[in-house]
Amino acid sequence: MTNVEVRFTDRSNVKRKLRKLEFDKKEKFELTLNAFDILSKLKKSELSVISSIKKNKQIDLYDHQIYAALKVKNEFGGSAILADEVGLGKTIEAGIIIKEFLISGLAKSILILVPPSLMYQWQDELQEKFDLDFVKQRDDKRFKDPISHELLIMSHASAASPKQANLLKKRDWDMIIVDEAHSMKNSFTQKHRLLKELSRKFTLLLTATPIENNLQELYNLVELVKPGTFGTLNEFRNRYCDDSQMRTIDSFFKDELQQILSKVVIRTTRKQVKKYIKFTDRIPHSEILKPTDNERELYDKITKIIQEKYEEGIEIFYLMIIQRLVSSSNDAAKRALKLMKKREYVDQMEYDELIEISNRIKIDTKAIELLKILEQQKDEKFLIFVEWKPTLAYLTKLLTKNGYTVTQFYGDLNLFERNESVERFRGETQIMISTSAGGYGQNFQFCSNVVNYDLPWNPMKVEQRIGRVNRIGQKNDINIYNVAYEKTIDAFILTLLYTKVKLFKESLGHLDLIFGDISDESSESSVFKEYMSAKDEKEAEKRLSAIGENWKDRRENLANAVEEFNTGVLNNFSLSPIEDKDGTD
Amino acid sequence: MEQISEQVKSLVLEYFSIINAQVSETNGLFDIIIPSEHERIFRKENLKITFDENKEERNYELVLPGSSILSRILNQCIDFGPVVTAKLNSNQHNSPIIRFYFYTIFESVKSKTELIHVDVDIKTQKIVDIDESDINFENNPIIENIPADVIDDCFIEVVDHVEKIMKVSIQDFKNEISVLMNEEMKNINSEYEKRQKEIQDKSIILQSKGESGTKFQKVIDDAMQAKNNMEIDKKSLNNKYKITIDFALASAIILIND
Repeated sequence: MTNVEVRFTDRSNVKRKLRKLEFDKKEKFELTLNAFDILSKLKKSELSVISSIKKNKQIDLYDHQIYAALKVKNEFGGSAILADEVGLGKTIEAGIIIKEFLISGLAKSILILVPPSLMYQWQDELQEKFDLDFVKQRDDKRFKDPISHELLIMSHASAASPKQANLLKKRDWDMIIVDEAHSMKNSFTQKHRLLKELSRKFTLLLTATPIENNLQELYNLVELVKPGTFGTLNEFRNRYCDDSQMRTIDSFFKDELQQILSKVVIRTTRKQVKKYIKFTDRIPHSEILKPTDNERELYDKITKIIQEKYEEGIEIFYLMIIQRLVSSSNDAAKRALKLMKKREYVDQMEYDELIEISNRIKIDTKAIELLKILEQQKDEKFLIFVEWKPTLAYLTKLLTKNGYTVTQFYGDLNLFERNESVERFRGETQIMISTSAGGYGQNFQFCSNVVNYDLPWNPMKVEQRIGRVNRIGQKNDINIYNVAYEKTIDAFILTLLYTKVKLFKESLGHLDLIFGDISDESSESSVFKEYMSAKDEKEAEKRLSAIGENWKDRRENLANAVEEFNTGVLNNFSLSPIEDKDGTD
Repeated sequence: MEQISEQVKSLVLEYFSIINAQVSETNGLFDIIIPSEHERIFRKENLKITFDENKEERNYELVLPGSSILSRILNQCIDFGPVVTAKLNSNQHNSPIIRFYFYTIFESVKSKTELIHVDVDIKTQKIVDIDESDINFENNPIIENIPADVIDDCFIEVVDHVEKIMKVSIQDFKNEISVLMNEEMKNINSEYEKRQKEIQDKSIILQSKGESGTKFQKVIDDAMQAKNNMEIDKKSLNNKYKITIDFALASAIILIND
């Protein structure tokens, strides 16, 4: 039996006013009644938020997204697996549902569980595109604990930690959303168990890969959204699977399975939307440059010191920062030298000697290459990414001096400054120089040239950079320019890791599945450690090459598995809310 | 949606008028100067808004369902909790009447709302029914003396009455939610029963083979796990389909004879 709680409340203190005979004007009375009338209408309306979302320039809404949200609200009772193929905007679908449920009062408390590397992106997108202010559990001063916030973003792993999990279980949530929900598909994991135990009304699971290995994974995900739907696992296996490994479906029960899945899963494919979405290509242009003698000398000397400190067992956090600064630009290298001196990695004499070498460098070889790239496409807009502020300042000065119009974008800008910068870039400015931090929710489809002036050592971050322009609505093929100096860690990462795994060529999706243990930001150090542990350049090349091969294998295996399941299982079902199922013209 | 857009526009402009904001309009673009005491609501002194979806001016925020400005204004209007006085055109009641407005919110996996009112005679504390046409807001009467305990007693009567008249609506909502819950509950129970049967069958086979020890322990663990899962699912279901019905006192009118 359902529990019913009936209560009489007076949050506007009407009774107190009556007792004190405090009266208002009738206009106020009429206004309040009118407000209640509007609220009631919003609840009845099918999707009341679409017009206001559509007006936001940061967002392009597509039919399959609106229909998916509509279906979740009106037919699925607020719980579903959103399993669109990569790049069709599952986050947007979730955003519409969140906004609709909040505005209509269906939900007041919402928890979003995401991989750690996507926390910032989710917060930013919900703010920029839906005007929703979510607190995130990491790097957000407002965060207290999971009980204190009504709109909260947490990482899967943090939520599953015993301390946070206990707090999360102590409260009721109206809605829980899990991004990259395939990480919950194993019913024996802590994450899966936690989600099963969290009290909530509505559940949205987002994944482009609801099945990777076998149909049990799909069964487990459905159990989280609507338990009991398929009966026991054995029953499910015997009825719907053609083999004991659960890798193929029994065609006899296909229609029955279709009927059940169509009440839980929404899945739109790229083929189905090709009429109204143009999918563009990525064209990588990677240049391994020969540095000048001064640049070579500075890089090698600093790297040698870092290597010595690494061997001495010094905490790698600062060593990594220094190495990344040196790889970024000469101005950033100067910042690295100051840090080395402050931490006493070099004495005054060594510092002076290194600064002297740095001062001899008048212009970065990478900058000369950048000017060449810009010169070749004079009328094109460019989004240039850098990791460090000194590099951002250096390039701004250099490019402005060379007659280019430049706007900057970095994490410290406030909301107004960020919007101003984006609008300048959208309008008169040719170049935006941006740090990796911030701006994930910004819409840069009007630009189709990305320059990685330096490289993050985490492929997820590179994908996020490119993702700012390579998203639905981009009308042109995207040029991705990468520059690095030969015989440096960046060059190895570029050629042995990223190029091998086709990071610049294809929108990978399932990044967390491919890169697995290095998907967490804190694990960036694994590449650095391999580089530093090598005795010489050859060994470094060999070590990083091995990582690259491993990534490549994982990528290919995953692509094959997903392809096999899409062909053998998911593509057999019509799970899209859009009418044109075959997508033919 | 067009009708609600007009209603939103009227509400928003009326709200700004009531808080004494300065509003100027040029071709559907509204510039609003917020009085300092209300700035905290909007976190700024000036607002630039429009109600016209076709306006492209990027500095003007479109106010429609879903916009944050509208959400703030709706919350403000609700917080007013206005109490007003009015006259009754007819002379049918010798003593003042209080009309209480309740915004009723039915919440579960579905949600609905309803604005209801109940009239109570202050003297007899009986529920009465005042016709809308009998209420006259012109020349609001001044009311100086109604004891607070009389208000409390009237409210108690009203609460009893609301519970009575809403019984059917509550039951209907309960039935609607129960249907959804029972469907899920049926699935969970069925899954559990089948799982138990599977485990039982397995244990019979093991027994017949004379197995004991680890394999048998595994069967016992599976049975415990299945029970545990079922209990978690049922608990989740009870929370998911919990119904809350809130009768939020929204406003009141004291009505007196002309």
